[in-house]
Amino acid sequence: MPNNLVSSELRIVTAGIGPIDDALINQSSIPTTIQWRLPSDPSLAPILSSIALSDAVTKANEKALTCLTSARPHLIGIDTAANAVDLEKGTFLHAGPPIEWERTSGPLRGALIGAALLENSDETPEGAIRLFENGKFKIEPCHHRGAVGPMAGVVSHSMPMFVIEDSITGRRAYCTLNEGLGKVLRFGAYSKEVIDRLKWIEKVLAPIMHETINAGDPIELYPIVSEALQMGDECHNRNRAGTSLFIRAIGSNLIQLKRPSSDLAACFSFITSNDHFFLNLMMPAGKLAADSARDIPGSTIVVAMARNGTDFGIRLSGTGDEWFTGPCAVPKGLLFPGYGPEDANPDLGDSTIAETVGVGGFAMAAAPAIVKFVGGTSDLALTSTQAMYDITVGEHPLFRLPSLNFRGTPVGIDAALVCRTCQVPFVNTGIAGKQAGVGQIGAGLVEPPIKCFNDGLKRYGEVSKVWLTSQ
Amino acid sequence: MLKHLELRRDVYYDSVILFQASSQLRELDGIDECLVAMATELNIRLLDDLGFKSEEAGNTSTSDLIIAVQGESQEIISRAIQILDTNLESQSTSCSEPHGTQVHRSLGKAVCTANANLAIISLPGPHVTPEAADALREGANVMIFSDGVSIEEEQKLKALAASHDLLVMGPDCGTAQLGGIGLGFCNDLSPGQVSIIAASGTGAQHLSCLLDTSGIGISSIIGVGGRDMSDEIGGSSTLQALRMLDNDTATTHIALISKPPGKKTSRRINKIIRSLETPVTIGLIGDPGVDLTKVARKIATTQNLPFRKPRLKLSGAPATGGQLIGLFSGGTLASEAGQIITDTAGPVAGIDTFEIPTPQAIVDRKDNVILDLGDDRMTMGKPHPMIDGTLRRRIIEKLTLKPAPRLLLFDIILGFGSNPDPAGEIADALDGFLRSHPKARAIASVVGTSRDPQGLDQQWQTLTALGCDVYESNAEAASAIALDLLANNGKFEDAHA
Repeated sequence: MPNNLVSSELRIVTAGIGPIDDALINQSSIPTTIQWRLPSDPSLAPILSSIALSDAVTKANEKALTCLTSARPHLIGIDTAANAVDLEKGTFLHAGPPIEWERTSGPLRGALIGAALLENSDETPEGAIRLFENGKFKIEPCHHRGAVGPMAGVVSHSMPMFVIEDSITGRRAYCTLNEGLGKVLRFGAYSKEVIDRLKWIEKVLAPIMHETINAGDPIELYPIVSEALQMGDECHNRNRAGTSLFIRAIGSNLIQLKRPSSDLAACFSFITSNDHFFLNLMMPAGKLAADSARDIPGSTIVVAMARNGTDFGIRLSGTGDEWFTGPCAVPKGLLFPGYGPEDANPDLGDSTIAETVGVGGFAMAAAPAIVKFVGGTSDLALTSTQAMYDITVGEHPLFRLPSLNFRGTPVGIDAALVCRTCQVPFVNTGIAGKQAGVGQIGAGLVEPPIKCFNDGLKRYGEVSKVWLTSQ
Repeated sequence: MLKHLELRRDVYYDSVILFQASSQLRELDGIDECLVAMATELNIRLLDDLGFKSEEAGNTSTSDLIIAVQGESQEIISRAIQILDTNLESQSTSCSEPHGTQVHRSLGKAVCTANANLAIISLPGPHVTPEAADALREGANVMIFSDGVSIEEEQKLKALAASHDLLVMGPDCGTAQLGGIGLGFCNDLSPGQVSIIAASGTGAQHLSCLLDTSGIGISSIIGVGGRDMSDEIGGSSTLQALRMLDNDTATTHIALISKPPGKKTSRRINKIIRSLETPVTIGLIGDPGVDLTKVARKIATTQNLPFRKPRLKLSGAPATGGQLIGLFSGGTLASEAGQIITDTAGPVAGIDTFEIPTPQAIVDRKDNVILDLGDDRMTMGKPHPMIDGTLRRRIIEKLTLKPAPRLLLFDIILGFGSNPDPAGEIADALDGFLRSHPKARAIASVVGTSRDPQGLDQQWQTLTALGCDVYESNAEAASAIALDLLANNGKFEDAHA
């Protein structure tokens, strides 16, 4: 049908000055008005205009969205970091963008020391520090090896890792097994109980889990995520339902293993007593989806968001391997008894892969219970998710939100939309103690620095200049 | 310090709700430490860390709630427990604001949610294009009120619109009317069958008001932006508007007004016009002998309708002259007047002849000048002079201080969006100017309809009471001035000495 604006009833949206709206209201025509904000870096205006005008960018972002939402991750087993990510002795992986030892924060240092102690029982914390300082021990982001890690995200050569495979692309991603809450390595604790637990995970839990997984078909992870969203999880800071569904999926095979029943019981109760066990499965599942959307020329979609406790970093699909970083903020939220805001470390972890693929803060509407972390009401859960539709290019076909009439979660963060609207992604997170060894001290929300998005888009403008004009 | 530890069996609260309850308790005066948590292994250990004796709690399960409070007195602890109970109770019953409609931050998403067919943008120029492009991609037509959009961006936006069969009005589109609703600056017009496509807002307002007073109603006004008919843009929006209005059963006649178009664009538009079923009257303001009043008359004639001669009211003061200073809020009215006066009485300087057009520089000029006060160089981020008459008032106040009498020509534009009392806003300044210069004259062209919110008759009365000559037709006002200038050419040169 040809354009019939002149004979249709007007349905008007407005952006800009008030008198335009007033004149419409005086004529009984009530417009919908947007809350426009000046971009935090107004000099981006020309590149933002070129992006918005380009059909090729729209197509590139559609392609990125398809990749992000069509991965089908399966848990296929467990392997050591040495095999899984080819991790040599003396190299340690960590969460977030690359960082030098000198700039690492307390919890990341603690976790690196802990991993060094785990790998060499003769080592002392002081000795480990020296080896990191003099460069004998190397550190590298998990993301650079197809892995992700929650909080400090530290991985060393002997640690067991979940192996997740995308049945569509055959691509794999990896993550360690979740250690539980409290004093744990990922929050920078490295006392004997921490190391002992890691050893137990390596010697008892990992082999039993591997056998259990292999006793049945590979475990499809996205159906668990989808169902967990309907059961009150947002799959980043609340994984109670996901963990329950997971143990249900493996329970029968687990108890049939020919292993000492005390070991099987210990594994069973380790998983059921740790609500976040599923987080370490959801994260590599998300990593597979995000990685499949990488390196699409011209795409402005965010394919990684990660923090190392010092810097918050993002990667864009259209700008290759480069990280764009800004200072990590200290999360705002609720602290465990005995801790104050001064004890909190700036945000850390690769778990923001959740938000990158459309869950976590983006699925807050699914998890009204945890808006209390930020003193909010269940309405905040809805409005947080709704605000994310303004900075994303699509809706997830599998992850649906009961409270929004089963609308798909917002997915595919468009850096251009973030820069334009000054609306940064909502990120749910745990809060680590600032001192190495303290562990988790709370949970809350954190704002990524807008600088990463501005810098990313500026770089995008440089690398895509030729591409944009050739399309 | 007293310690209180209690266990409540088989209750469940989400851990976050409990965190919050704990934090609230800790803030109470006299409460030193507290833990309200489900009795998980971790929390039991935490209890010991805080100096409570967890074994006192006996056998626990994770469905039990621990309440541990350390306070100054039993009284304080009891009050704290009461507050805790109230808080936990309110978690399940607290009611909150119903969640209203989502306020969007980007236009594309808002178009989508509202299923809108028109997006109106009045943002700073450099930030218009992303919003406009998104709105177009979501299927809405776009009106861009802002100026400061580059011509390259205009080209691309209009190409994008064309590929989706959508219309872009503007950039710098001040006036439109669709479905009886005035958009931007627009007059309260009676409904009818004539539709106007205009590359100029004030041109469209003047033409529609002239037709209105002749009893000829208006169906739609589509603004296309001042550059649309340049060869760079190629009349993209004009062509789309022509097609849309040709398909519109409510439109029986189309008026097209613009500055003279580029050569290529002119051929292109004429070709399309010949293919339309609806007759089109073209008025190219700036071509010799063309003005908006003549276009209005021509439309009436082709429709076989009577054209009422535009009203005027003269003060009766003798035509004593002086150099011309034209202070317009409407750009097209300024150029129409400039053209008419130049054709008859010789060249008139415009704003481009000023290095910096300050009010002082303007009143210091000794030649004939006509200024568009809505020009970017004059507004510099201030509201349009149709909304804010301060600049014009300042210039008139400065004229009052100059000894030379002047011929002062100005427009008053009424309608939605304009100043609520544009004549009143400059009345004191005009009064001062005319009283201090008995030989000066002030001539106004008033654009408006009798239904406009400012009151057409009131505006006329304000001006005539001050001793202004008032015209309904800007062209007639300009012609009268031209004759004055011609008659008094050179007479007042000495006054500037």
